[in-house]
Amino acid sequence: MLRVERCVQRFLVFYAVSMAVATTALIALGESRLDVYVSIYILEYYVFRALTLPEPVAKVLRGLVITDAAYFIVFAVIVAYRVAEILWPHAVWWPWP
Amino acid sequence: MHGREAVGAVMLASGLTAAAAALLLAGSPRLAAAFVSWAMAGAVLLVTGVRRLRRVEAVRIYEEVVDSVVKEFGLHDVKPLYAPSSIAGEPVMILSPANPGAVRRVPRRMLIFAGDTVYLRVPTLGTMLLGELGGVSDIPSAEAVLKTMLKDYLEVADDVLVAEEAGGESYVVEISRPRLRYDLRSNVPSNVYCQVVGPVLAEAVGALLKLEEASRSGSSLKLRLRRVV
Repeated sequence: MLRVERCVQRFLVFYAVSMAVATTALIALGESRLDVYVSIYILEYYVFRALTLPEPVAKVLRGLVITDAAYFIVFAVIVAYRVAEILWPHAVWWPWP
Repeated sequence: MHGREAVGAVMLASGLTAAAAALLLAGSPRLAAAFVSWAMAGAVLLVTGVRRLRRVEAVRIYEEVVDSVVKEFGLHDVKPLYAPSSIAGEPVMILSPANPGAVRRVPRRMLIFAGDTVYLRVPTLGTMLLGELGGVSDIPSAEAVLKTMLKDYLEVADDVLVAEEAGGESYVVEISRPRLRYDLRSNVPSNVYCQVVGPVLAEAVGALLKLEEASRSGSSLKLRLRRVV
């Protein structure tokens, strides 16, 4: 098996397992805010991407730029929402807890 | 779209739909979170699919680039030597208008001046792929690695067979149904098959090899390499 393929498989396995663990743990803790779950998934994505995909391999996988950017934007929006919630509590709106 | 990308796309679409349904219809953020994780795994699966390039085309273009460089040096008609990492630091091709004989050490630079002659030290496609796929230690492992490189990775041949001759003095490599077509008489040093086979075989036997013959027989390509003593 090629090195790129090995690294990608390792990344996918670690990422999937970590998301399953995080989901189970957060549900067990009684967490019901969707953005907390998503933030944790995004952090896990960046952690395992850095740990399992070294730079030469990541360069081959050009599509990762899309998820990198998309997840960063989602994370930034979540953080912005939480900051706005503190600064302007009456201005922000979210129908679920 | 291939297997992994298709699975990723389905996971992404179904995950997002189910998450929206869980949030809007069931009003359960936890269930929605589980589906979001499913969708995110799908997105990663989708973007990490290594697309199958038109490899034969890419390899042909690479070969032409190397050929033009070799022609610039006027070395397109010399028989190349292949040195293992024990001699050159990494498995490389050595081109010289003179017969260099048994080289003991090759410095790590492209142009090597020795007396009145000049040698060209060229890390080839074989050098790069060997670094990617791991080392070789003997002829069976070299044959397996060559099959992986030419058949599975570059997709430019159907099969590769390596045989020893004259008690290990020379080696014959038979490549079945090579996909690249060119004039073997004029551009042997830049020939992709020679570039891949030479360094791998030199590394496997741990000795300097010289390409003696490259010929077509039927639908296969035959390369004969000899140890330089």
